[in-house]
Amino acid sequence: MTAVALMTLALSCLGFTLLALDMDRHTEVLTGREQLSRRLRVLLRLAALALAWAGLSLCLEAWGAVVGVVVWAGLLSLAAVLCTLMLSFTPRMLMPVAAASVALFFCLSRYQG
Amino acid sequence: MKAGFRQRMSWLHTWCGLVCAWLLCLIFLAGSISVFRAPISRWMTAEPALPPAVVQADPATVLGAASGFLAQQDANARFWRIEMPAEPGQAMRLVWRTAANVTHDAALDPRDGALLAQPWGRKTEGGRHFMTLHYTLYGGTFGFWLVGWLTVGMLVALLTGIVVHKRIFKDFFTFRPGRGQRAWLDGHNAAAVLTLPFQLMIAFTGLAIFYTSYMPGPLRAAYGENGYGRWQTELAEAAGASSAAALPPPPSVASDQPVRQQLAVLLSAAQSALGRPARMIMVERPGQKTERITVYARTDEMATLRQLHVPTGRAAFDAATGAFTALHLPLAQASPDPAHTVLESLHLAAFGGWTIKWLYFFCGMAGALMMATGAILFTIKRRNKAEGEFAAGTSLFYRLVEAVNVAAIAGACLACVAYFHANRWIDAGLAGRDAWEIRVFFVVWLLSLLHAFWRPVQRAWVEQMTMASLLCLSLPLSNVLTTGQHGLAYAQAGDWASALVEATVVLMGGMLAVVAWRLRDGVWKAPRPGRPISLPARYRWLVLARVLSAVVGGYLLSTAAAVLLTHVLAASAASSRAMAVATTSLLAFLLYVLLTMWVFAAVNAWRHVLAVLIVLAPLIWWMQT
Repeated sequence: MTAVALMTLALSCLGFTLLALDMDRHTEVLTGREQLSRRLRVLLRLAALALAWAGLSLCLEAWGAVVGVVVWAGLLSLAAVLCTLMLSFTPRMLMPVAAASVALFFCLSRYQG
Repeated sequence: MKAGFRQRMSWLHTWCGLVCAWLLCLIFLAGSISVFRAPISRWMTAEPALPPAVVQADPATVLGAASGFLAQQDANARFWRIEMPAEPGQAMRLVWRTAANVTHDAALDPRDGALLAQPWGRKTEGGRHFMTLHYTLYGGTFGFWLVGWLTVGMLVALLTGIVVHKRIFKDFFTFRPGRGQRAWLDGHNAAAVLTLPFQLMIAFTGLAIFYTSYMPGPLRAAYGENGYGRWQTELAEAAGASSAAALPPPPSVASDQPVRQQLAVLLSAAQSALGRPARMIMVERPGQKTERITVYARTDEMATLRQLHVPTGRAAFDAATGAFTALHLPLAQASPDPAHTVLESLHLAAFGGWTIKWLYFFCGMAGALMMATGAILFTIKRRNKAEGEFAAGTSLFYRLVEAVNVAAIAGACLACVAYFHANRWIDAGLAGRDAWEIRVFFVVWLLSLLHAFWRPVQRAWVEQMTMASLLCLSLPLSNVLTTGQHGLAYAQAGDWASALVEATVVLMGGMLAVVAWRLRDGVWKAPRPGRPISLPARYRWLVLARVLSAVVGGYLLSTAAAVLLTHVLAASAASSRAMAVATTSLLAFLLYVLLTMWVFAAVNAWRHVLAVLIVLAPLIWWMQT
């Protein structure tokens, strides 16, 4: 259970990072570029949506439909708060942390079998 | 009140938010803590380890010793209760209430039935204190209603906040740390927006738990003055499911002594019928004609992981013959009122295991943070630019708000941690020590308010935050000095619940220390009185009239609308009468919140409220007859 919660948290953090990349205010801090291409931005949003969906399906599998939705919503909030804190205190760390969360996700999924 | 919808909502958000935030801060803090009420009670009870066992007796001997002991205590007891140990190493608890309504308790060694030293551990309200505080503020019926109104106020503040916040999506991840007003605004917005689903859910479900108490109109209209019982019966019939199962054959009890002295026979019969270990045996009115013996099953923790509601299993026995009289299996089934059951367990975090408990703790703390930052923002805005709301009395009013803020935020933290210390320092043998612990909580809170008035504002903040942090950090020290227990020992003994309670308190102490450090050299200047605004002479009366229209008129109107809707739904056969009551009571809260907002948005509110009431009243009267 804890592993699934952490996996969903990792996916949600990654998803919110992608959403932040897409926002004018954060693009420059995160990438150094003024703006991203239109196509890339659409891709980012779609990817974030897919990640949210993946997190939801993980939770549904682990906790069942009713409890799963609640757990997922709570983890989304937690991930959003974590991303906000990173963006304001250590914005440069956000991309490496997002990458690390991908690694964490794969480690945990191996461990889950 | 200013012109324009957004300005009006902003006014409502500011004032409703400020007034409600003071107590809601404590309510949210207590609510978040009470998610962990079981581990906290465990830590506070501080049961010593059982003495080395001499013999391993069979359950019949142990329970025989328990019931024999209880029978000696009071011949006319109201009830006895035998609480089985949840984990090995814990004592068996015996509780009895005398005819004079005094409750006593004792502890028994579950291995050989020997009576343990008195007092065994520390008698305490434990984590339940935070729950009682959370929903009644220890104010009885008035406190219960006050919490209800504050919750409605919170919903109003949340919805008006959404209206007022112009850049919800653009500022989604925005938090610009610093000392200025902007940092506080960002913090307030981030805490609210990022956890908004939780805040809306927790406020609404909090009201929904007590729906027929807070909003009794629909129930009374459909079922009369004392209709709760009939309503519940109809709901259960409509759900078509009853948890009562077929009764197993009576267990074989010996006839030479009363059944209550042969609890082991009943216990094993109940456990095999329920398929779960027992949590507690209850003997009501022992020795009297209406005696009843009930065995309660322990809730299956695994089942609560995936289900919102797991009913408590129990088996009741006839005390004369020992035969089963009722059996309720702890299986998932349609509950009589599914909507209410789901809303209740959503609020109580009684599902989903530890993941949900930590998420609720985190989101609840974010809610407390939202209110704290909101209340502080009110004063920070006015430190920069006073608004002169109260003409000559403005400066005094600002000073008052500053002091109440300190007590409501720093003082609430201080009182909570003082309660933990009181538990360790009040002597374990003192009669009524559990009440003294709670008194310490309130005395510390009161002292914090006095201190906030006495000291300069900035000093009061720093001193109280530092004090709270020091108390949190020194809790393990108090624990070692008074009981000889500590976090490491708990962890080594496998008592992770207690170990985590202590670790979490220390962690909170660390966070409070950071806050205190960051506040250390701020300076508070009394704000200059602002430019006096020319207000109409009747302004205060107008505001009062609106508040009354919203609180009283809004309540009457939402009750009236819910009653009308109940009659319409019941008459139209769209739903059963029982379900109609449940649905409309829940809808009424939403309506109340929206009406409150409308009263403050409308140009001439009370006339409209009155007009609608006058139209609705005969309609309801007509449908009622």
